[in-house]
Amino acid sequence: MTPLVLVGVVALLACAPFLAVPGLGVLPDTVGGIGSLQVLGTAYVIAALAITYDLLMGYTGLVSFGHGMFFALGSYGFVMLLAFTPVGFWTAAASAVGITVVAAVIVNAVALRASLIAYSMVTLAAAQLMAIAIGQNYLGSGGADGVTIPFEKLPAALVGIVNTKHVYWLALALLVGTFALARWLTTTRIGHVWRAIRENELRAEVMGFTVYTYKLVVALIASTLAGVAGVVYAILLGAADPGETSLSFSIGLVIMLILGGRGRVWGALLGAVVYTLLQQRLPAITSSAGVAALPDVVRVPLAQPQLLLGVVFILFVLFLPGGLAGVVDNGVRAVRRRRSGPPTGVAADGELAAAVSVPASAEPTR
Amino acid sequence: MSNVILMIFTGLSVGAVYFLLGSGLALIFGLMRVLTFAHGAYLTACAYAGWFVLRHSSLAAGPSVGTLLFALLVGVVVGGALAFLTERVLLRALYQRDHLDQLLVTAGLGFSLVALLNGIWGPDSRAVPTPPWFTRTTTEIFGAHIARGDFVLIGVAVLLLIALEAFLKHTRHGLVVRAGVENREMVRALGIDVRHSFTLIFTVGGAVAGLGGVLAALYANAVNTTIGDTYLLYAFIVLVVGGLGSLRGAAIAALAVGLLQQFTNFYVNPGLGEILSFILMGAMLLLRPEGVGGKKIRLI
Repeated sequence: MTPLVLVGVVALLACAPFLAVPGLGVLPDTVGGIGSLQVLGTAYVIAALAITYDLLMGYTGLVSFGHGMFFALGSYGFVMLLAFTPVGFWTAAASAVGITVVAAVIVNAVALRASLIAYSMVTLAAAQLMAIAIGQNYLGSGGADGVTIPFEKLPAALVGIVNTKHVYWLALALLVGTFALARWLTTTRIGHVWRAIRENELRAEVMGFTVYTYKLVVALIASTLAGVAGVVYAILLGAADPGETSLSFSIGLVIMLILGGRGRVWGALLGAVVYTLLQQRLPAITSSAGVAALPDVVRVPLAQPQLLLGVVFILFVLFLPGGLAGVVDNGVRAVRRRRSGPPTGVAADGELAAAVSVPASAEPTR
Repeated sequence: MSNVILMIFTGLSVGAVYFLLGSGLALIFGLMRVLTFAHGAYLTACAYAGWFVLRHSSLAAGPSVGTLLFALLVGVVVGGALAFLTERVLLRALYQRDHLDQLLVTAGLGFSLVALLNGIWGPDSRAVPTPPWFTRTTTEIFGAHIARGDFVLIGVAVLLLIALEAFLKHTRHGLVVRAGVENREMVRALGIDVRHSFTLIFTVGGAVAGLGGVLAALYANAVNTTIGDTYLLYAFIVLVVGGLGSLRGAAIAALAVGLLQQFTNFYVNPGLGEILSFILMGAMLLLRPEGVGGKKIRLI
């Protein structure tokens, strides 16, 4: 996609609050409606989170089962600072991100000592520590209820139903910023080293790169951005939600990446948006009159977005490891080939390579 | 004193369920190098299967011993069947790919299975009818009143440990499994199809998880769709602490984690037991990745 098209898409999305286009069931009301803006905003924040996770899992091959922890740290840090201390909005937001950075340094410096599966297990353990602490209401973290933002401490422009569009723009800005940063990072030298580590860690080490440092850097960048996303999510939700620390939330991130296509920034974005829209809207659609008349055997699975997502996820792992982005890429390549005449031997090889190497990157390597 | 005895027995009972799930995981990881997330969901599914059998008996009178045994059998069969199908249909297609894809498929399956159970029975807990002698009749040991259920759980876990060890030591299939854990390529080079052992071990793991599911449902008097996830996390701890692929290691680890959890939760602070368990797991991964099970990767 050319930058001009991207700018156009962002401009169009920024105008969404003023559009009265019908949501066609995908969104709760018209595109500019309050409910729709809330759903879209959630999708943007989760997409930003998925992009940060893609840097870890898709680009560097670090499968963390605790990425939700840093998102939750951002949320909880921000909300709890506002609720229990006299600090203001900006101080709380900055401190929450600061807390996330400190935690990310500690957890990752330790976890990256372990490799592969062991890394996954250490991050899983770390995330569970936080889930237990919240479940037990340590430091007033509210147990299963979470913590609500004291709304009087938010800037007036972010409070109230009238101002939903401001929160929507905040979420959009977060997504655009994360997207641009991730796109830029993955084309720099350091991004190429990340991919080298993913493909063959030993070779990267032998070539003289200190793999541990590169991994630590990507983990810190991803965790910090996740913390920022967590702050925005708390503003959007009006609360910090304990579900963010659960194992199924982190597995949900993995599902988004596989669905969209790991190792591609816009693949992660696509997967997260599809995932969030399905999860938010499927129960509402299936409780409509038309579906309620269906027999239980059909209706029960349809009403469970997680079941549908899980089954689609398994099918993708088995048959489409490149995800939706891989399908789109192959389609684009096929169209281009048809335009440029009969395929040459080189083009056919290129296609084969793209079909074989699962997380092939969308951008051409320099 | 009576509190200590009581804590020991509840710790052992909790550890017994951890062992039931963790031993399957340890065998599967040892042989197949697959970290499975699906077995937690099997445990939940079998807990529901057990509840489905038991709910026809009244809550007041409780099910007879026959019904109880039948529920346990159903749990074993359902767990085994689910695991068998998973291995044959999903995992077999992925042995040529890397281990991450196998892990992802089991995670996706667990995710879907729990969602299906949620769709059918909803997220609320269901009461499980339990015979009065299981939870309400107690035996006095040094002043502590221990429920019969505790003895049942501990007994089942001990029997299972003995049975699995005997199977691995004294049968031909067990020999192939042990050899496969030591050196899979060599076993294949000798002309033995290791994939049969994969199916066998994965199914045994599922059946044992099923048994654990029904017992956990009986012990808690309730089922809901999240029990599998909780037990799975502790089974991971047992797997890591015990040593990947070590049966005795898993038994020791299950015991240690169960006791640690009960004692610290009771005497220090609720929630601390869980936190210490996960810290123990992290520390083991970093400091002694082979676990208490000893040598590099061993089964017995």
